[in-house]
Amino acid sequence: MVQFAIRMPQTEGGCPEWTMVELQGELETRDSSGLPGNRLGDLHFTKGGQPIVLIGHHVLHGKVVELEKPFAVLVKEKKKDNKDDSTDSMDTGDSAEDSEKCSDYLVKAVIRNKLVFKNRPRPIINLPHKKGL
Amino acid sequence: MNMTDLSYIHLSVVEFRYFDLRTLQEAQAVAEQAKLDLTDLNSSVQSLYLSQDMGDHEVRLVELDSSMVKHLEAGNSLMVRGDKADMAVVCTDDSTFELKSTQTTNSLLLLPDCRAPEQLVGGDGCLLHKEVYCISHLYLELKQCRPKLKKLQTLLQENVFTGPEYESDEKHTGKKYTTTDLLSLIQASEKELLQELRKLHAVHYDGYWRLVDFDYMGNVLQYIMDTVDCQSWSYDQIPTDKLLSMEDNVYPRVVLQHCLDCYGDRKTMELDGGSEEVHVLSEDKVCRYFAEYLLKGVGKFNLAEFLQTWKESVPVGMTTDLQQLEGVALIDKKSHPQVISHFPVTGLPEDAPDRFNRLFRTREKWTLEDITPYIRDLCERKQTVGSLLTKFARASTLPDGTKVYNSRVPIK
Repeated sequence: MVQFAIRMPQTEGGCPEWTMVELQGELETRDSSGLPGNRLGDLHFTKGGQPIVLIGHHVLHGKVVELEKPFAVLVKEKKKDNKDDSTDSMDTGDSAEDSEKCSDYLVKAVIRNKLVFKNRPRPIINLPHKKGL
Repeated sequence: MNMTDLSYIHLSVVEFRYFDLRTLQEAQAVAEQAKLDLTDLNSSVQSLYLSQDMGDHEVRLVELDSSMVKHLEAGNSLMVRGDKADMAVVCTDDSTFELKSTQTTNSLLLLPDCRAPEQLVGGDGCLLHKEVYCISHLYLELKQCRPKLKKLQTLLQENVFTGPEYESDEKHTGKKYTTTDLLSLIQASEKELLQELRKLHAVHYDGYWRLVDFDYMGNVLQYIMDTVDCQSWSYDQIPTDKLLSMEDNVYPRVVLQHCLDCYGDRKTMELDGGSEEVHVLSEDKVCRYFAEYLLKGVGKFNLAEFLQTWKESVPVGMTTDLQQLEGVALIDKKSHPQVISHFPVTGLPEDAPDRFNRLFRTREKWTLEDITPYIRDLCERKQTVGSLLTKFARASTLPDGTKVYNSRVPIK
């Protein structure tokens, strides 16, 4: 049996709180440049606290939702001896007979709120396409 | 999730450098283009960027309840225990949860530093650059479940305790397990594990958890009762320490204490000169032992004969009652003569479909009264015996009006 712990490193200031943005569907780039490094869009809030996000040629209206069950963002703890830990303990059933100790998972952050964008995006017409700059 | 509702958002190719010199004015221009009412917007804008090394950021999202978060914040751990055959479970100190992976077609963007509306600066506002750490389509949910304890019996049967004098013989070379050992092998929380050990009457001997041989336990129990009789004590008020401290005790203190706890209850008596710890022998538990002694290894026992023998075997002053054998023995009222047989619930499969299969293989039709002791322990949180029966059995009525349950599926 595989056994490992989920721990929250005790740091001054406590565990960071992150935010989740939930979008329907997938983000794609029109060319094959891939997502990393690109600007995604702008996030506005109305005076009433409603989030609006502008991505590409779309306007998405959303709302802030407090999660009934918070999410923990987990990362695998790096093993001190740098052994290649190729097994992902969260996915696989282990093949070892006896109990095996795997890397622990550390809580990197807690997410208590999300910005959910469920409404159909509205297109932005006449968005000037800037080149260079 | 309606697949046709998916809106694919196409991200324009932006030839800007990462963290380009985007200004607040530009962002506001786009907002105007989008026909947003700038007077209704907070003056600050957060420009979101997908981090360069997004692909290297491997995270797992797990849904936790608030008490688990508090548990972690206090410096405690959640243990994840995975069996090769089953899915993984997460254990707190006292509960077990199934870990379920859920895929979503939604994109879940994680932002380490997004500001909530109330955290945005007022006045003229500014443009803030915010990074998206990674995007996920997967998260893990936790659902409270029964711990998986059947394996415990298998492990502890490797080396059953039959007395200190036999510990070094060839029958006692099997592995022995400490609490820590067991927690690394069983999918259960510590509290649930200890509860099950108590239920199995396991003794903590020399740092290891051991099942106690049935006959040996009977001898210890008999010795305790004989001692009580000899000393003219009462079964309702056995002075614990006096008994355990007797010089010529034939059994180790640990074993005597264990037997008292298995077959009696602790009580503090207020007497002149202070309080005293006593044990009150439980009539139900003692009678149950004697019944099992008679039924084990016999197969079917003529009911009338059994009842008589049982009555005669229990200590004077104790009364036998078939209610004491719930979940321990089964009576076949249809046979002539009626018979009773040993049928302990602890010997049955722990997985619900397998349990019901075995029950229906043993007996085709069950009344609610008869089947309840054999399925009660299957109830997950908020589940009732009734809902279990609805799920795994089919109700019908016999010609004489009795309501019975039989299997929904062919019996294996």
